[in-house]
Amino acid sequence: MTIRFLFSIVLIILCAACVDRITFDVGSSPSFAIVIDGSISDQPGPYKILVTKAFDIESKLSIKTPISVKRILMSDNLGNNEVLSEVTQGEYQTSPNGIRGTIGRAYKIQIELLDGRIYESVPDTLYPSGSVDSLYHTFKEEKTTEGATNYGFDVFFNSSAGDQNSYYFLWQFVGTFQVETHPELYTEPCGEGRCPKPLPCSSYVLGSNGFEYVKVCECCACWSNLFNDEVIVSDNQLVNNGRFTAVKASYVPINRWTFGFKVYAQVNQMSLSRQSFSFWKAVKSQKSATTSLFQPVTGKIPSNFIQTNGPSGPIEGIFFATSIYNKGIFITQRDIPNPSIIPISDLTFNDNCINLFPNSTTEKPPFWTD
Amino acid sequence: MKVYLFVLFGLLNITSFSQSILDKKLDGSEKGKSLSDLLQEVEKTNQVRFYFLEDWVSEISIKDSFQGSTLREVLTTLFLGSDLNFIEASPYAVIIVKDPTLALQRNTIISTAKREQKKVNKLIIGTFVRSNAPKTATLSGTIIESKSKDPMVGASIVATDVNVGTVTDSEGKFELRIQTGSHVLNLSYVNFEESVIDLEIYEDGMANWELEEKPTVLEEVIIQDRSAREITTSGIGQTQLSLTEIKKAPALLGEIDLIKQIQLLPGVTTAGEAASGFNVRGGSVDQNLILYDGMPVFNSAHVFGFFSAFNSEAIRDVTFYRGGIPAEFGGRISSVLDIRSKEGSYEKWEGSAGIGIISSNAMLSGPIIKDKTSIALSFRTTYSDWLVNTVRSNYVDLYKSTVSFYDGTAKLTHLFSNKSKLTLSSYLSHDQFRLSGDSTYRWDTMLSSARLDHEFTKIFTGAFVVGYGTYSYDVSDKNELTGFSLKYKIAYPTAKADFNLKLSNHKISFGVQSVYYDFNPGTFSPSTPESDKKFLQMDLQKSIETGFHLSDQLDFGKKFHVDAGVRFSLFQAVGPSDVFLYKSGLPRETLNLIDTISFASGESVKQYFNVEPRLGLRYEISKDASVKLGYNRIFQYLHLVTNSTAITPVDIWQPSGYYFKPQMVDQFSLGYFRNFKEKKYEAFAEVYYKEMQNVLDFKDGAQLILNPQIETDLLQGKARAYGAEMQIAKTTGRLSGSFGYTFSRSLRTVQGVFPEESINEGKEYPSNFDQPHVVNLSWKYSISRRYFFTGGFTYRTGRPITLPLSAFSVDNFTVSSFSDRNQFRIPDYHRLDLGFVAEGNHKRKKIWDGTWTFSVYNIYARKNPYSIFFKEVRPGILRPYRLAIIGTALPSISYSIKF
Repeated sequence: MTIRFLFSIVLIILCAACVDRITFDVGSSPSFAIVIDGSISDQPGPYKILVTKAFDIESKLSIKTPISVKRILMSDNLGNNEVLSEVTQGEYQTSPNGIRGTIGRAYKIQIELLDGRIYESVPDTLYPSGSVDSLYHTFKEEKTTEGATNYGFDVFFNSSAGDQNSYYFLWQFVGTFQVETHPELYTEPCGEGRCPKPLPCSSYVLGSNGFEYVKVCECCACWSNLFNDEVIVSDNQLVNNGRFTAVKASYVPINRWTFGFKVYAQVNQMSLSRQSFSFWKAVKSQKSATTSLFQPVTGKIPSNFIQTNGPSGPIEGIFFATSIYNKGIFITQRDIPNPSIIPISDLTFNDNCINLFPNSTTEKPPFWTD
Repeated sequence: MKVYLFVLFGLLNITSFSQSILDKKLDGSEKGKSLSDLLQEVEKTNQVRFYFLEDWVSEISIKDSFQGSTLREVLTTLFLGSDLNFIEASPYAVIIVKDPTLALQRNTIISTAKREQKKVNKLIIGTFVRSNAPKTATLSGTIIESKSKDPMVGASIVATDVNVGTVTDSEGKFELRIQTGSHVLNLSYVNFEESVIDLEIYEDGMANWELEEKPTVLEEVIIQDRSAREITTSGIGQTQLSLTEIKKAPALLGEIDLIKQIQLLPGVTTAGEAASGFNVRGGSVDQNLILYDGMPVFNSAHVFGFFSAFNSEAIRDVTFYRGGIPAEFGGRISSVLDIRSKEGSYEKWEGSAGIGIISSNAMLSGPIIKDKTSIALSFRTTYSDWLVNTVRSNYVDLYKSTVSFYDGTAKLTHLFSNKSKLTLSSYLSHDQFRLSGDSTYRWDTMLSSARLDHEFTKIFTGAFVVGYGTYSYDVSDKNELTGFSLKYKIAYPTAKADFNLKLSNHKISFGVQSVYYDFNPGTFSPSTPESDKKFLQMDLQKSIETGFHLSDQLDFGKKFHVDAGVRFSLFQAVGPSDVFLYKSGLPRETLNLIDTISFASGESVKQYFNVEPRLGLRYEISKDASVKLGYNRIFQYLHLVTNSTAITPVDIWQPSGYYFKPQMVDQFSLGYFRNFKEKKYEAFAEVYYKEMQNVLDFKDGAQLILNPQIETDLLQGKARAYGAEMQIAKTTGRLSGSFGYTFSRSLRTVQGVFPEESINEGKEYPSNFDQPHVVNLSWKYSISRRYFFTGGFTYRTGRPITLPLSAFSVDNFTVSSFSDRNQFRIPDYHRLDLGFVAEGNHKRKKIWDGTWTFSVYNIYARKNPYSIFFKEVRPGILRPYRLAIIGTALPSISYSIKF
């Protein structure tokens, strides 16, 4: 019998494997794309077009840089057109009584940059929106891996495509909740501690006798928005004979901010053309892809702009035409099955509500009822 | 130098002839006479003299009638294969001469071999009778390893005096057609002692020989394409690797790895450090047919490619085809890796065991019934958790992971007679990988086969195989609320019959092979009662692939060899199946679905029939040089659906069917092979051009796993690959080594009717495995017979990658903006390994062989990437990260004992 033994000793002085950042030489001065974000709808205008610049993935902040352009011209296939005006840097809009989206027409914009480059979007047809037939919510209790419990509502909708064969849709979810803050309790550092200093927009000033009521608070009540992190576009698994059933619009968490009062959950059903659907589907794919060691995320987002003049330069984004149907419901504290989880008012919100809640406004939305 | 002995030469009578005497036609009366008598009769009736020594021709008699043949033709026939020749000195004088060159050459070869202490054996087949007997004889037989008695595949048998040779086939058998007479045969195989046969052959005969392994442990460390050594024998793009050769090459952490050695061959690349699978001449990893004892293997790696799935201790031999693929193989368009496992010993029980830092293995083999039934068993398992735990990163997924694998083989062989052999073979492989607090991946391969080899007659043999194979994986998560299980499985019963028919100048092979594929593309289910996951069963897919092949190897003269064949392949996707139909004039996407066609069980969904011609030509320019030409057309009916570069545990194989056409390749290759300075230097250069149709690529953002309408996320396009492979090797001397350089390109074009069905706007782009420049250098410098330095250097252009270049926001969603597909490249791969080997003494009889090996892998600590992946550092912002598995110099010391 022959026996063979192999003994190996390996001296590993340093750890063998590592994960580290890697950078690639992508050219000496990469030119970041112009990004167009805008649409026209069958809802009353004005319609906005945002012009920004793409930013470096290596930058520490994800800040959109608005840029001004020489001219933006919006037109339809019947020859109607309108030059948009700049509201703030990079934000352009049509006039309130100007061009308006009409079902069946095709729309495009032409953008002329300051350096002479001209981009034009591919004409995009405005299709009917169909309708959101019902909107409902279910209470959800979810345990985290850390052992805590999260409470919230899943919001679902049923909708129909209407009398058409096109099932290309994008759904936007906008949740609105009211928050009450106490700007009169605002404090400032003084000495080694903090001293009260009611904000001027609050109802009070600090007089010799303490807080004195002077006016109705201008920054105590805010209406803030919740958005869905996910893009919802139509999916074959959702549609049956032109009807979309039990599509999850979003998750609304129950916490001391959202359910201090109630939440207005609104779903906007937006019709898309095939090409604008491709754009939003690509956005959805990238947002929902999970990156792993095995399968890196890839995916170009196909812009619908083409360059027609000037020195070559990249462009991203979309201009699309859409018809919008929206529907909303209130989810109130009474919908919460267990009263013990209803949040109590929080006095620690002692600043201007707009400062505390981005995407908020002190103007009460028209749909809001007390 | 040629020396002619003129034995008789006299003054000649001067008489003029209108015609040479050699053109005189015989009347048939010469039958039964001796040559001497015939010539004397001719002298009597014609004015001519024949000058010769009676001894030379005394045994030459004329058995058959040569009526109508000229005297010149008769003499040519009778002297063929002998040292005799004739010269027409004048129209009236013919001199018979004896050329001693061949005899001198044979004597020199034999005496040199004896001086070098090579084994020289005398073999005489038949008896020497000068007659008009067949001008060539066939020597056939088998070459086996002296210890294990395993047949040796690819051993060379060369008649060095006349430069005629062959190699043994997959059963160790050979057949050499050679002129009758005396010859010197040289039997050789890498790392085995050469054997010299002093042969006298006068009729067809058989001979079986054994070759003995060289006593040194690490004699050969150079892996090179052996085609350069086989100028007169092998087909184009064909390489035979001996396991002895592989075992003696430098290995990462001492783990001998078959696939890693394949990756060093010209024309073969890999996606990254330790990546699974390999790419051959610009093909994707799924285009390689890997056979283990004739059964297809879907997973060739353990631990995502860190180690080969095949235990080298259990492998007998490996043949690798990257061009000129024979007609008996089909179903993959880039290469064939044919692995044969070891048979057990019929004589005595043997065992081996290896203890390494990554894995340990054991092998046992021996006779169940002596000389009748043998068994070989092997098992290998790992303890490699420590390796992944060394990852220096905050990427907890990795450094808190666990990894394990095992594999085992069993082979039972029974000899019914010397004409029939039954072999039962099975192979099992298992891997498990668990990410920290996350999913557990398991993947398994199981193969079983029974093979009957039978010799119907001496010239007609057959092999019959039935087998059953499965490949499956399971991804599971046991989280109470989100737990799930994803199961995937391919089962593939196989049957085939191959026949070989040896005729005088032909070697005809034909056969049939059929595989039934049963795919379960995915079963997704909740793994706990509280899990929020929903059950999903993907439609099962069934198909049958059948191939008929016919080929012939034939020689035209001494220098021209043809290997021509054809394969007829039939692929049928069968029901039950639901096929989705989409609106015409619109992109194929889920929303354009308009109808579903249902096919009943067994009903044909789609059928493909294709003809695959194969051709290999070899022309020997001289005994040291040959030119080879190859062409093959191959169809591939199974496709790997992946959007990563290497094989991963969750890859999906998609059979051709209603939407997916079979891939097809047309490959042309041309090679020049040359030896210099008595084979001290061996070199070859090969160029190739491939065109592939219907290669699969994925749409941007494709969802590949659990996608019931996967045809909406995949695209088919065309590809082309071309390149030049060069290698030069110095085989002897204090410094030996090889240098190989490959230039190659692998490009794809996917252009559909609609923009979303094109990649990079329909322009040609580099494939994932386009690596234009590859350099492999290996060397051995001997200080003495026992001490030597070894080393190897590898360089490869970094493979292409698609990168996020910037980010932008639309409607409050931030997304990354990617470059064009494969627009950039990852850093080039290069690595230098150095080693020092100290062997024990080289005495034949000793208690054990001991060898120390000191080596440093990746000596300048380059962080070659295993994977480039993207992490979402903020919503929508993706940044590239590199995982380097061997990011540092890795020294190792090993001591091996063999006794």
